[in-house]
Amino acid sequence: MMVSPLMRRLADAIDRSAPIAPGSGVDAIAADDRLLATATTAPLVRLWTNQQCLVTTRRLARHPDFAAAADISEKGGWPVHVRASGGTTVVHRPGILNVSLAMHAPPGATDIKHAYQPLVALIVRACRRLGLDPTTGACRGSYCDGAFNLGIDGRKFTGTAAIVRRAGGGIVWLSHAVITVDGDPAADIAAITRFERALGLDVSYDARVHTTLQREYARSSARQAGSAATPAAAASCN
Amino acid sequence: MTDVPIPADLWSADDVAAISAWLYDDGDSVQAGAVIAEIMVEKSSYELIAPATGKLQIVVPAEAVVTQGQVAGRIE
Repeated sequence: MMVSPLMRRLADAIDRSAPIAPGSGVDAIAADDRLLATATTAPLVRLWTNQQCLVTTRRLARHPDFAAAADISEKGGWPVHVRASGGTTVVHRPGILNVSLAMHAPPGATDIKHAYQPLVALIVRACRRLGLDPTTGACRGSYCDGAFNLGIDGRKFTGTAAIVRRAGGGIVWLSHAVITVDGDPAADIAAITRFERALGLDVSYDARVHTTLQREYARSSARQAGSAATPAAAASCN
Repeated sequence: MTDVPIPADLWSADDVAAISAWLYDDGDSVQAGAVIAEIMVEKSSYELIAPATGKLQIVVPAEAVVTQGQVAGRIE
């Protein structure tokens, strides 16, 4: 699987010691379970990509129309896999970097923000090394929206979700980020919308509140070169 | 009859938690240790584990908000 120069730079900025593992559908998703099973008090980072697919939740997989909706999606080039973490349907494909972080929760820690914050901090720090300054927060109109999205100027490029399990008498956390490095978020939204509407869900996502790291990097570079910046999207994060 | 309680020590008591999905239907046979439901808190999933083997009786339906310690189901 091709890794763009920007994805390589981002991955190196996140964790130079972690290779980008190319994934093949559901096996790549299942590897997060193995990562969680080996969690220690020191955070374990996994960087990975996946083939083009949709990844949805166990909640939607229990929907009576799931098989038919998944069939429609697969015929459109987007096979559907199921994950254990929360949220709603997301996209995996070349051009998207997945970051998984597994760790034991400190004794007595139950606040889920402590599972997300190390992951978010890792990505924010890496983006700053690339000259970008993302913010954290919900992004109204985005797919799989949540309080621990990362966005730039009101446009989301990273979504996050987590799994919490008991293990070895304690609690283990796996937080996961889907970073859209390049590609077409509008096409991603079209695939998710087709699948979720086939489930009978009344969904409507706004492509204007999504972006790619590549676009934001180009905007930032243009600004630094003195070019006019592109206006921010009408909708906004936070 | 064994109660299936909502865990009291996995998330903060002031977080809003909901059963996002039962992974078995009411009346299904379940094995002790199986993941029988998923609880969602801020896009984080928590697994509800069957404490016994038997037939599942769902007390709290999917999508409902739950509180820590609440009985979500029973196994008989």
